[in-house]
Formats: sequence, C-alpha cells, structure tokens
Amino acid sequence: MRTTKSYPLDNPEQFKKQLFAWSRQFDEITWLDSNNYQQENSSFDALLAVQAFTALKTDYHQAFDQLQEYQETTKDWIFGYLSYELKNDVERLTSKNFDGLRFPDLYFFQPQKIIQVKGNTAEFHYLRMVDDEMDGDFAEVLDLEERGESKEEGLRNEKISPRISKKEYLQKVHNMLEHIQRGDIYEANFCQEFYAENCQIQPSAVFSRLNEISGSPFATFLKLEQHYLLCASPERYLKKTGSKILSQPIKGTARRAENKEEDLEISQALANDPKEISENVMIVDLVRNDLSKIAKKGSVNVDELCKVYTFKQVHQLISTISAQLEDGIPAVETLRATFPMGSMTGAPKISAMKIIEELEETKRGLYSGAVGYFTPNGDFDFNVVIRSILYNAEDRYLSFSVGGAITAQSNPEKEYEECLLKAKAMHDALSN
Amino acid sequence: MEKSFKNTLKSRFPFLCGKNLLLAVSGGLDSVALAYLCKAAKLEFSIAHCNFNLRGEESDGDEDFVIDLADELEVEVFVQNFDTEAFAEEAKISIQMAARELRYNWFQELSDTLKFEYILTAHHANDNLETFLINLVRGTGLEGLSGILIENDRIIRPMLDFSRKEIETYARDNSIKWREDSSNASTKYLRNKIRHDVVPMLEELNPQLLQSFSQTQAHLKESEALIDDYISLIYPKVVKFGKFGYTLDVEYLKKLPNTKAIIYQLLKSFGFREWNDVYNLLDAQPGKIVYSEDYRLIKDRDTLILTEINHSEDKVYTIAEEEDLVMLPLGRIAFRNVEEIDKNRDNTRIFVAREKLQFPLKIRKWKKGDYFYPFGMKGRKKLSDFFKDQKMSIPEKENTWLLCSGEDIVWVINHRADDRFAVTSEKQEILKISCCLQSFS
Repeated sequence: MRTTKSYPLDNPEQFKKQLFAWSRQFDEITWLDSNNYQQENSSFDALLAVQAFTALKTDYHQAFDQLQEYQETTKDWIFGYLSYELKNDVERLTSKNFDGLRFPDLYFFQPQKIIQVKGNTAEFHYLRMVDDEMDGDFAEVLDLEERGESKEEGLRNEKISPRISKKEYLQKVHNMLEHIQRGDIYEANFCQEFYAENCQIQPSAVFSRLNEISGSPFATFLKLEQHYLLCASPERYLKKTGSKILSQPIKGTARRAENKEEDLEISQALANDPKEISENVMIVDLVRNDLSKIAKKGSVNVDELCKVYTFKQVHQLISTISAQLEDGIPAVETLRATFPMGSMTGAPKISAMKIIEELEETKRGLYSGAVGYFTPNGDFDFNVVIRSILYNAEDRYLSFSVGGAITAQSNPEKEYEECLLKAKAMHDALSN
Repeated sequence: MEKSFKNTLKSRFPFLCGKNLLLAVSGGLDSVALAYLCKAAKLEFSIAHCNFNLRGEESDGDEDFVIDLADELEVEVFVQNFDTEAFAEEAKISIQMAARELRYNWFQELSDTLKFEYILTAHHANDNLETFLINLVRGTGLEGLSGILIENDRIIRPMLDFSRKEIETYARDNSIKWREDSSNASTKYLRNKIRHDVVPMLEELNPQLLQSFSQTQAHLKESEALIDDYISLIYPKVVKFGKFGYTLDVEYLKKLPNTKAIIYQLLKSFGFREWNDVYNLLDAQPGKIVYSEDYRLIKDRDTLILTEINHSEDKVYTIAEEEDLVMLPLGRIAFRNVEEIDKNRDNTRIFVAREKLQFPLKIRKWKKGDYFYPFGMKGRKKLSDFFKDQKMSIPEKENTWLLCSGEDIVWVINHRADDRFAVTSEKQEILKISCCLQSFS
C-alpha cells in the first residue's frame, strides 16, 4: 500500500534540518528525532510523518476501543498521541481540573508521506496516490536553505506564571506526604503548570532551540491543526517489536558538571543514591505488574536495573523491563493494560492517580501522556511526554508542566527547587 | 549575433540545455531579442511578463504583445499584474525599486512553484555600463562599480557580453518587432539621461568603450575579491559578538593600516550613510552614537558597539501581591517572606519591608528623568548619574530593568536597591526579592 524508495545522503545532519524545515508547510506533522543516541533499541535517527490521509480524533470515552479499531482496519503506519486523560477510559476516574490547552484526548493520523532517516540513507514511504512526488520532494528538501532564525520566534513580551504559588505547592506536597504516611500510596508524581496567555510563538523555532538545549533521544515535534507539542523527552514508555515488549522508565536525576572527574563522581553518586534507587525500583515493580497482565507467564524480565544514562543536561537512572506478549493480544490492548505509565503516576497506580487529581490544579492533558507510532504490522513505539512545551495557536495559550516523584523521603523545599530547575530549560528555550 | 549567442551558451552555460527555464520578457527590444535567440538555440523555456500598470493602456498593450509573442514562439506564458504605485507607497521605496522588487519576488515564486531551474534576463553590456555610471554619480564603493554578475544563484544573464547596438541590429535583420517603452524615449530617469546623453559622448572618445570597460570591471571584481579575503582574515581579530551585538576593538582598528577602509568594509552592509561621522567615532567621547536606518554604532570606552535599533515599544509587567514567582524574558523573579536579612553582599536579591510596597508592582525599563535613593546613601540620585558611576555602556543601560512600587523605584534590578523600602524595624515583615537573569546565549 506504500511505495518505498531510498536515497543516499551526503550530509545526514544537514538533511535532517532541511527535512524539518520542509515539514512546516503541512497541517499534520509528527517529527521524531533520536538526536543520534545509538541505543540498542532505536530503529531510526529521525522519522517524519506529514499530511493526514485519514485520522482519528476523540475524547476519552472508549478511546482505546476506537484506536484499536482504527489501527486494525488501517493496517498502516499511524502516528499520534495518547493523552493522560485516557486514564478515565481505563479506570473509573474523572478529571475536572483547569484545562487551558484544550487538546483532544486522543489523536492519530495515517500520513500520506513518511520519511525516515537512518545513517546515510533517507527512506521515503509514500501512499500510492502521492508516490510520484518522491523525487520532487527529495530534491525540494535538498534545495531548502536553512532558514535564518527570525527574531519574533520566542515569547517576547509575555510573562510566564506558575498556576500555584510556592506556598500552595509546599502545602500540597505535605498533603501528599500525609497520604504516604497513612499508607494510601508509596509514591506519586506531583506536577505543576507554568503558563502564558495571549502569546504568540514560532513553534518550530522554539522546538529547535529546546532540542538544541536538551538533545534528548525521544525528541518530538507534533502539530495537529492548532495544537502543538514541542517535546524534549528522554524517556521511552513502551515499545513493541513482534511479540517482544519493552518499557524503560526513568526515575532519578542528577546534574552534569563541567569538570570530567566531578561529572563522573556525580554519576556514580546517582547510581548509589538510596532515595533515587528506591524511587526507581518502586516504578519498576509497577511496570512489571502492568506488563504481567498481558505477558506470557514468567516472561517479564528486568534487563537493566537503575543504570545511569548520561544526557546533555543531566544524568538519569533508567531501568529496562521486557516481556513476551501473550498470544492473541492486540497491539492496542498492550497500551491499555499499561497506560498511564508508572513513572508519571505512582504506586499503587489507581490510588496515586486519584490523589494526583485531587491535589493538582491543572488537567494534564497531553502532558505525561505518550506520543508515538504504529507500524503496518502492529509494532509500536511511544515516548513519555515530559520536558515539553504545549501550545494552542488558536487560543494563544502556552503551557508547560514540571514535576517529580514524591516519596516518604522527599523534602518539599528541595522538590520545589527541582521543579524550578526543570522549568528553566523551557524558559530558556522560550526566551530570545 | 545568433552564432555568438550560441557560442556563449556552449562555453559558459552548457548546463542550461534541456533545463526548465523562465525568461523575463517586458516586450522591449532586449528581452524580445533574447526570446528569439533562445528559441533559435532550441532552449526549453517559458515566458514571464510583469504588468506594473504604470503606463495605463500602454502597459496593457505590452501585455497583449507578449502573449502574442509567446503564441508565435509556441511557448508557455505567465502574466502577473501589479499595483506598483501602491506597493512603492507602502514599502516607502521608489517606483523603480518597487518594480524590481515585485518582479524578482514573483520570478522566485514562479520558479519555486513551477520548478523552473533558472531565470534568464536580458541585461546587456550597456546596462552594466549605465549602472556603473549611475552609482559613480551617486557615490558608492567598489561593490557599486564592479558590475552585475553574469550568473548569480539561479539568475543567468546570457546577453551581458553583448552591446545594445548588436542586439538591435540582430532584431532589425530578422524583422523582429518589439514595443517601444515611452519612458525609454524621454529622459525621465537618471538611467535614460546617461543612456542618451552621456554614453554616446564617451563612445565618441573611445569607440572601444564597452571592451575596455569590461576589462576594467574584471579588474575591479578581482580587487573586490582580494578585499573580501583580507577582511575575513582580520575580522576575527577586530570583531567580537557580545551580549548586546557586535563590538569592534578600537585600539586594534587604529593600529591597522587603512583604518577607514576597513571600517567601511566591515560596516557597509548596515546602511550607514554618514561615513565621516562613523570614522570620527573612533576618537569620540564614550556614549556618542551614529545611526543608520536600522542600526546604531555606539562609542564605548575601548570599543564600538553595533546594535540593532529596537523599534518595538518596551513592555511594562505588573506583579500582583499574591504572585510569588514570575518568569519574564529578562529572567525569573521570586518573592519570598523570610525571617532575617542575609548580610552577604549579592546583587541578585534585595530585602525590603513588605508594608512599604504598594501592589501591584511594576517592572519596566528606565526612562529619562528617573531617580532613586540608592541604598546606603543619603539623598536621591538620577539614574543616569548612577549608570555613569557604574561605567555602564548604552546597551547595558537600556537593558537594565527597574522594579517599581507606584512611581518609586524599589530596585535597579541586579544593581542597587532603593533606600526608601529598606527594612527599618524588627516588626516589619521581610520580603526577599531575587532575580535570576536569563542567560544570553
């Protein structure tokens, strides 16, 4: 159903930039950039999907059923996102918090044009109806000059404000600690929103800068109508290859140092920090539990526990959990059984989600959801939407949320400082 | 002429053969001749014609003529109508410049959307000479004298080596018809004056004028390239990119031979006109400024600072009492109640008595006449004097923000607090205000 053609590249890095610039003309864009992280489990360097042929857009009611039907009837590449609100489809939960972004709860599309960059090759996968445009498009991409950065790209005159004050934040974290002491939960992810109203940005330029600052392996630029996601995520939620499924939750962060020795010391300290390790292990347990719902008996395995991975800005503890999928379980069912991911909720999951809903003031929407794609044979790969700027161009509303895992050992004041540190990367990307 | 045109194609533009070409045709002698020449050379081309609507019915006559011409040559034709006068008015440029701008924009658009690989125009040797003389009369640098390029990006000028006379002879010999532009006949524009009055006299003095002129321009182009090479050698030593724009090292500039010429080469693309004022800046008092349309050059102590003129209005941010954190383009500002004052000296935060503040607070840039009561000093001080004491450059001053309560300055952010808001009694609630400036990258 798709025509595929490969083109050799002289300069893949430049081609990636040109390709991203070229994508701006389309209404539906998904751009996935692994930023040259040669991880064992990466399938491409960059993947671009543009121009919807068909699409599915819905609120959370029976969203997974609809997605399953869409995926199984389309039997093609589909790209899109699962917002955090799909939790209400999976569990008996609701969400009444404020939502300034107004993204649909679930949105997928079948692109007419897919271009994959791997090594020195660009692979074009076009629907038959447009496959005569491949040579022309390739030439057009190569011909594009990188745009000079325009001046009006970031927030020039807007003020970014936190949705809750520091005092409220500290109070809420105290409440959460009380829940932990009472035994309602062991751990929960608590987030706060920063927002700007009446603002105008040039999304692709802000994304480029955010990506330059972070250089994360799951960077994503997504545009669906007026909805934009500018995402510098380092985290994979779930990947399915044949019958193998794989989850890589992140918990535990430490800063980088300029000095090589100091940097090494910090990363070693992170690897041995009992608080960070316990945060991570709790989530690993939760993921094992989620995966066991759909896995062959005895196949759930922790391949790596709390391994330090080093990124441009931070060191992180990442665990890798894999399993063999039970026969006959549909691809979408795998997502339904494990969504929302443990690293953005807590343990036990349902209780944590209820407490999060009660204490947070902003509806998470796409934040802490997942963006990714299905291949024609039902394989998929999804990231976790964190370190992201979300923007509704029609409402001119911009928002980013940051958060952290609260455990019994958490110090509210320190958690708050960590939030500000995470917010800074977004603020930097937005300021000229 | 047909033969030497084909030779030019063969020797200089062999790549045009078989490519999709766009020909700009006004209906005048040069472009019509070019169209016939291209047809004779069996190039694949389409014709584009701009109707600038500057000469009423005559303009429409040109349009019809070009459409008929395309018919005769059996090529595709694109016609675009422009309201040139309105555009010139809006863009505040001359009609001739507007026409040129509209024309090139449209050609680019055509070639982008319809995939023309090259655009051919009918510039010839006389055009080049005229441009040279116009620039000479108006005053220019080497770049205004070295002439247009025969090949520039996607624009090709295959007739640049031919004279108007050759082209006209070719047209007459082949009974080619063209449209006489009525503005061509009058001496309405400087170009026409030079064409009809000056060049004939020069040709009288030197019958081989065009040949010698073309050699002259070849030398000028070489010299220009030489200067470019030299400038790129010294550029990294003289110019630095700083927080507020480019800075030029005055001492180093003065040590180099031909200082003036170097300054001209470095700054010529920024639109300055008063070059003597620019040169005099080297020895001027700090604070002296020379302006161009969009840029200004500021003398600081040991440097010249080149910054863009900020045309946009500066924003005033308001901060309500309940806000304890705001992220602004200038940085992140946090408000915290604290128990005691930290005595360590640190410009990035101040401690004030909350009760003295009048909310909402405002954050704004400074303006002339602002004054404050510097913390730890008796009496008031004009901000301009404070800046002088701090030896701040003009861009530094302009990028200084003030935190204000009502009209009163509470804090010259990250420089000095105001005495009036200081904590003076133990009973007062202490508010710590800190600012983490946005890092410039």
